[in-house]
Amino acid sequence: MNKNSEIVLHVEDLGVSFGGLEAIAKIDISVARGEFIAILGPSGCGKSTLLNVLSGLLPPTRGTVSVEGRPMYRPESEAPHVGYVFQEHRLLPWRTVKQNLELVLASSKVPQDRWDDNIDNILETLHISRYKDSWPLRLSGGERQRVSIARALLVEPAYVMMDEPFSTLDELTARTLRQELIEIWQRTGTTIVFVTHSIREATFLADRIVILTRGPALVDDSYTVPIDRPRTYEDPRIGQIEAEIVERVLSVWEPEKK
Amino acid sequence: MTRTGELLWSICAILLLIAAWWFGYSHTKFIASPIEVARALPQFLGNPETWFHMGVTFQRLAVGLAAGVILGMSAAFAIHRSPLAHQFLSVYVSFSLRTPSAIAAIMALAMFKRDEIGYMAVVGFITFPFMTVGLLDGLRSADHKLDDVAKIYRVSTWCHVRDFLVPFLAPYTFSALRNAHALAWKIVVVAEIFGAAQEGFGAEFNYAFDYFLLVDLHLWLLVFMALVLFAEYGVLRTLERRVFKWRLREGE
Repeated sequence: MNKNSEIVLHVEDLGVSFGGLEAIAKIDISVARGEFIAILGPSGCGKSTLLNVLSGLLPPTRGTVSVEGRPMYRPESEAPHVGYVFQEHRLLPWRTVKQNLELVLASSKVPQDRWDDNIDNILETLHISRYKDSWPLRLSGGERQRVSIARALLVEPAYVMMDEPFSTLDELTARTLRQELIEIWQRTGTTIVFVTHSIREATFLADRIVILTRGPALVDDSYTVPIDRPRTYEDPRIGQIEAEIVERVLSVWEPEKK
Repeated sequence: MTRTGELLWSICAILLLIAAWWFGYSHTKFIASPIEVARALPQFLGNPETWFHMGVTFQRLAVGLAAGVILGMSAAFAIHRSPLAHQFLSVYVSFSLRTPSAIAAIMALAMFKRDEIGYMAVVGFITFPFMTVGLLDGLRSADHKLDDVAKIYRVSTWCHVRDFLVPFLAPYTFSALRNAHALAWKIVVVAEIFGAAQEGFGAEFNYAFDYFLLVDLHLWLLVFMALVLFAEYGVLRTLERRVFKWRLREGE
């Protein structure tokens, strides 16, 4: 684990079952402050369930989740402020970009006198200042996803979860957004938990890649990406590491073929 | 279609209606001449009695419709939230939906002894199930993905209702309201005629019909239609456009 040693998110012996069906068998993960981790897993392995647990939506059947040292899902514990970027933007279409951002700020700890400045700064960083008063339906898919990222970062979250946020965008837009995400992450030092199917995307973005087994999910491997930043898609090491991870992933997802 | 095109088609439809009216006038004894009606219109509109009767009917309709909307929306929320309320209230919704408007009018006026409240009650009774059914459709198709957003960002219950639920239900509410509104105008006049009201549109229709005042009959009909269309297009649709200004327009 790199970055500083302060653990923001600690998951221990996590298990989730729905009736008799086990969705997550056992997961242990620790994420350091400012770390960018990618979670790789096949469809149906329990990634969404894991994100629901980490976002405060679904209490686990077993185990503990601690955020900044405080356990979640205890009667006395306050839900942590987290950001979430969904696969689809999930903006409220009847509120302008600014109003969407103000809505989440209203329930955050950010003082109201800083809202305008923070909104202006984040929109400028994401190159969408001119859309501040626009309706979401008038924006392109990439612009909407930028607003969704702005929303997640604005609440000064303990960590931001991203659930395949660029999977519905065209490759050129997705590449631009990945690059911008890295720049914002480096500038703000936000902790990011990024779920993806794409090994190349995980390799390009993350400090560390966590590989989940086919359901019920287990953390089968954790791989630190040994490439300095800034990274480029043209870097031959990305391709080499991608091939290496493919090997590892296949051995985890399809062990019988090995 | 462009705005000019839409306008042209509307004008064509109105001209065709006038032609049909003229044809009816030429071939029957029960339809007044369009020219006579047009000549009498300014004096009719200048008569304070006309506005008084319009006001009486409008008041009955407004109070009855408001009651129907409140009852209907309350029933929809209750049915959606509680299986017990579903079992209980569905019977009333079903019963009201299937009651012929004229029968409802006669029953209400008999029960309330032709009091003002009877006219309002019948409008409320007939319109409430339309609001319930329309709003229930909205509640049943609620977007739970947006609910997750509200939970993750810890949006308060009040904000959730005001900023998520109400705007989501707005299209369903407007659609139900338009249906209920159109029906309310029809039923209030039926109630006035069946209740032998002394004031209001229905009373004046009835009077003109009984005394074979064909021009008056047509004048009341024209004014009635103008008022309904104004309420529909001048008020409801304008309000709807303002509420839904965030939607993409055609060609965007």
